[in-house]
Amino acid sequence: MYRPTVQSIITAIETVIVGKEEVIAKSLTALLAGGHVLLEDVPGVGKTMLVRTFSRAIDLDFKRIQFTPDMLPSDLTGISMYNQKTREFEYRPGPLMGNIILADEINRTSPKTQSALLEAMAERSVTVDGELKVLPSPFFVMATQNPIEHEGTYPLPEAQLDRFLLKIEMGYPTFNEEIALLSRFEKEEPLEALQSVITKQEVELMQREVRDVHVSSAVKQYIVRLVHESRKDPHTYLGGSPRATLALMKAAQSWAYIHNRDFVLPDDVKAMATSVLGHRVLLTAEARYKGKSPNQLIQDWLDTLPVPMDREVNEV
Amino acid sequence: MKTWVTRIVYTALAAYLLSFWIEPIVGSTTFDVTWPFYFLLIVPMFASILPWAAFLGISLLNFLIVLYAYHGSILDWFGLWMEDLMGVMSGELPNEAIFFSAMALIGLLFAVLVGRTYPSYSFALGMIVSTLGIMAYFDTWTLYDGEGNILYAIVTSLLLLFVTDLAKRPSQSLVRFVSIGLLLSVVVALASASPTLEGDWSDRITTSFRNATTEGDGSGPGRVGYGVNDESLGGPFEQDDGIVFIARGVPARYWRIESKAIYTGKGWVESPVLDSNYNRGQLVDSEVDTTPEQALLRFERRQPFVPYGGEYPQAIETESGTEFRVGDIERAFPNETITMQPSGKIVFENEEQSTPRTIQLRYSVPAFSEEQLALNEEITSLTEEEQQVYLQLPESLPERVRDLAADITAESETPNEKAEAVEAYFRNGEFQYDTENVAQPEGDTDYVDQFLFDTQIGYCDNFSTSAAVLLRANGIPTRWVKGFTMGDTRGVIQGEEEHTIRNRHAHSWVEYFIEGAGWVPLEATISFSDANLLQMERETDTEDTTPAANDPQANQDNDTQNRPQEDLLIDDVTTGDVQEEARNMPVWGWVVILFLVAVLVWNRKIIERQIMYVWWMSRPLTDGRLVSMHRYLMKRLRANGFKIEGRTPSELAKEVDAYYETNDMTRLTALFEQAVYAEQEPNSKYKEYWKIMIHRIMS
Repeated sequence: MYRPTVQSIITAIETVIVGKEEVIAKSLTALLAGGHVLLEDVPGVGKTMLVRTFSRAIDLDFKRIQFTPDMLPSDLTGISMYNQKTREFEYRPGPLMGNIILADEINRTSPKTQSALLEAMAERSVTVDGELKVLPSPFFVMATQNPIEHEGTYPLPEAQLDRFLLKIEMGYPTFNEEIALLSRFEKEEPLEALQSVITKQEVELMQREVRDVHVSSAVKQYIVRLVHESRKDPHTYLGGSPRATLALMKAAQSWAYIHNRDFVLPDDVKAMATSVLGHRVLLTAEARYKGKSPNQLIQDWLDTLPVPMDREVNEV
Repeated sequence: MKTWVTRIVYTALAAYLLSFWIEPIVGSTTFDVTWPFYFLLIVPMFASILPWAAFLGISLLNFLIVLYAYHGSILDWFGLWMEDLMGVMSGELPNEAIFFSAMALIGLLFAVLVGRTYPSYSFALGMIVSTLGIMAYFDTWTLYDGEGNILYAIVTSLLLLFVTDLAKRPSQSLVRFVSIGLLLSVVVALASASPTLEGDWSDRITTSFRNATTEGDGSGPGRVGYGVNDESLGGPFEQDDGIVFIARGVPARYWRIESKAIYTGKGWVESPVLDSNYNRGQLVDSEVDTTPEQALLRFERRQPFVPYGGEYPQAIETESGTEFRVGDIERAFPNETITMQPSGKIVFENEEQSTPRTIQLRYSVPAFSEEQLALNEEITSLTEEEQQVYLQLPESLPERVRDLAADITAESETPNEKAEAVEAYFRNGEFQYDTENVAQPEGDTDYVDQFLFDTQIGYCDNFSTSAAVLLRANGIPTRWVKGFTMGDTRGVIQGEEEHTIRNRHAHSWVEYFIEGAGWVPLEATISFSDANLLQMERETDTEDTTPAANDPQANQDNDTQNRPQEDLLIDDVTTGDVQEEARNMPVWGWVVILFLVAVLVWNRKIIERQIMYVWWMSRPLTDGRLVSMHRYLMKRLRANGFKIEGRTPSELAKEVDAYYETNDMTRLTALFEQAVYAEQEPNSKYKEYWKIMIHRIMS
C-alpha cells in the first residue's frame, strides 16, 4: 500500500530494525512533511539505531549530537575560530550542519542549549557571530528523550515540544521480534551492509510533492474539530494550538503521500492524531491523577467525533 | 407546521379516537342519549393544552354544565349518586349516576394523559390499540356495528401517528408527507375494495339524508326498502345496503310487517277494518302446531313498524321493561301505546309512531302438517265481508288474466295444489327476475296483466301481486304481505344467531287461506324459496321445499350478470354460511386490513426507502445526492448495529465487508472517498454498489 519508493526505504530499514514498521513510516512522514521527530522511550530500545539506519538508507549526511548538561549552544552551531595563518576568523561548522541530526537525550542538556536546537529546527538557519548560516536541506532532526521522570533531566517546555511535528514512541519489541533481533545481530552488523536506496534530490522532490496532496474541506473540518475537541475537553489544561492544527494537516498530507494517495482521508488524520497531538496536549492535575493519558484522551475523541462527509462547513 | 397547530391537531385526533368509545359503551347501557359523554370526554382533552389550573377549572365547569343540562339539578344528582354508591357497596351493578361520573373520570384521565405526555408514540399507540380493541370487541359481542367507524378510526389513527411523528421530529421532509399520503390511499383503497364497504358509505349518506321509503314512485328509480304507499307498483329501484335492524336469537326467518287486501290494478291499498279471529291476533288455525320463539331486535334507527317472525307476536317488551301482550290490544303505558292495525301492522302510538331501538319479541312459529295443507273445505272462519275483500279483483282486470288463472290450475283441486301450480307457473322459464329493467304500467294498463303477458320481467312485487291475483281469480282468499327476508347472517354470537336485515331485504309475498289451516304463506318470486317461509312437515315432498336449488331456470337466473343481490339471499342461506361470510365479514375483513396497515406503519421506513430509492436511482449522481445516499446508507447500517460515530468510511467499510463477506462496501467507499475527499466528479458506479449494499443490509 506504500508508494514504491517509500516501500523500498522501509524495506531497507527493516533489514536492520526488527518490527517497528509504523515507527519507520511515521519518521518518513515527518521527514517528507519537513517536520521533526521526537522519539521518546526508555534507553536501549533502538532509538539511535533507528536514526542511524534511516540516514544510511536515504543517503543523507548524518550528524549525531549527544546532549550533556554542560553543552553550550555553540557546540551545536559551530564557532568562528581565528586562523593565525590566514589571520582571519574561520567558521567551523557545528554538528547541526547535516541533513539528519540525531539529537540524543535532548532533555539532558540545559534549556539554553535546547532552545538553540529548537530555534534551528524552526528557522532552518543559525546565526554565528552575527552571521546567518543557512542549514543544509533537507534538515531533519530526530531527537530522542528519555521519559521525563528519569533523574537528571530538563523537561522540554511546551512551546518547544510544539516544534516537533510528531512524537513517536518506540515501545519494546515483541517476543518474536526480540528473538529475530538476537539472530540478526548474532554474527554481523547489518547496518554496515545497508546501501542507500534514495538520493537527497529525490527526498527533496518528494517533500515538494507532499505539499500538493489535496486536503478536502471535509477533512479540514475533521482536523479542526479534533483540535477544538482537545481545547474543549475538561481533562485538558492545554489543548492543541493552531500550529498543532497545521501540523496535523501536514502530517496527514504526508501520511497520505507515503500511502500513495494524492488526497487526504479522514483515516490519515486519525493515524496521525496521536503522534501530532500527544505531546501538545497537557492534562489537568485531576485527569493525571485519574490515570488518564493524552493518547487515551485523543483516542476517545477519535472514537466519538463524527467523521465529516460533506463539503459544507458545519460548526459543531 | 407551527408547534401549537401540531398540538391542537394531535389533541383533536386523540379526542376523535376517544369519541369512538362512546357509541358502543353507552349503547350497552340504559342511557338513550350520548351527547353528554361527548362533552365529558372531549372538552377536558382540549383543556389539557392549558395550564393545570385552567385545565382543572374548565373540566370541572364542563362536568357541572353537562350534568345540569342532562339532569336538570345538580344537587338531586348527588343524591342519586349516593344512592347508587350505596347500591354498589351492597353488591348491585352501578346505575346511571355512577356510570356518568365514571365516564367523566375517564375523560379526565385521558385528558391528563394526552396533555402531560405530548407528544408520545406510546400514548398514540395505546390510544389506537385500545380504541380499535373496544370497537372490535363491541362489534363482535354486542349489537354495536362498527363497520364504517372502524375505517374512520384507522384513518384517524394513521393521522395521529403522523402528527406525533411531526411533533417529535419537526423536519419538513417531503418524503414523510408522501409516505403518509401513500399509506392513507392504500388504506382507503383496501377499504373500497372490501365488498361491504361501498354499501356502507352509501348507507351512511342515505339513512342520514334520505328516507328510504319509496319503492318505484314513478319519478325515476326508487330505492328499495320498506314503504307505506303501495298504490302504484312497478318501475326499477336501486339497491340500498342500509341496515334496518339486527335480529338476534332466531334462525333465518322472513319478517312480516303487514298485509294489504285491495288490489287496484296498479297496486295495493289498505283493507277496511276486518274483525274475525284471523285478522286480530291469529294467523293460523288453532289446530296448527306452533313453536314459541323469542327474538331480540335492535333497530339502526327508529322505524314506524314492528316486524315479527311467525304468528302475530304474543308479547313485545321494550327497553324500559314495559310489555305488550296480544289480547289486550290497546293497552296504555306511561309513555307509549301499542296498536295492531287491521293489516296486522303493529305501531307504537307515540309522537312519531316509532318503535323503540331495542325490543324483545315473543311469537310462535306455525308448522303446517300435510293433512292441514291438503284440506279443501268450505270457508267458514272468514266472514262474508272478509271473503269479499280477500277475493276482490278490480273491474278493469283483463279477461285474459282470469283465463290464464283457470288454465294454470286446471288440473289442481285443493287450494294448496292451486297455489303450488301458480308458483310453478312462474318457474316455467318465461319469467325473469330483475330490479332495473322493470316497467311501470301507464294509462289503463293493469300491473299484473302487463307483467304476466308483456314484460315477464320483475321483482318480488310483480310476482307476489300476480300470484295473489291469480289465486283470487281461482276463488282462493288471498292477501299481499309485506316485510323483509331473512337478511344477512352475521354468525353465531354467544350461542345465538344474528342476522342483519337491510333495506335491500324488503320483500313481498302472498298468504292464501285454507279452511282449517289458516293463512298459508306462498313465495311466488322465482329463485326465492319458501322453505324458510313455510314450515311444513313434508318429509316426503322434498322437491317443493327446495325449488330454487332444483329448478334449472332459477339457477340460471342466479348466474346472470345483472342479478340483484336480493336474489342471492336464498342461495346463501341454503347452500351454507361460507358465501354469506365472504360478503358480510366486516370483522375479519377489518382485522386483515388492520394487520396490513400495521405492517405498513411499522415498515414505513421501507416505504420511505422505496421512494428515495426510486428518486435517487432515476436522477444523475451529484455531490449532494451522493452524500445523501451515503448518509442514508450509514443510517441503515447504524440501524443494523454498526457503530458509525468515530469511524472513517474505510474503517466502516472493512467492518461491513467482513460482516457481509463481500467487498462491495470497500468499493463503494473508495468511490465515495474519491468524490468527497478527493473532491472529484462522483462516479455513477457508486449507485450500483449502493443498490447492492442497501439490498444486502435490508435483507
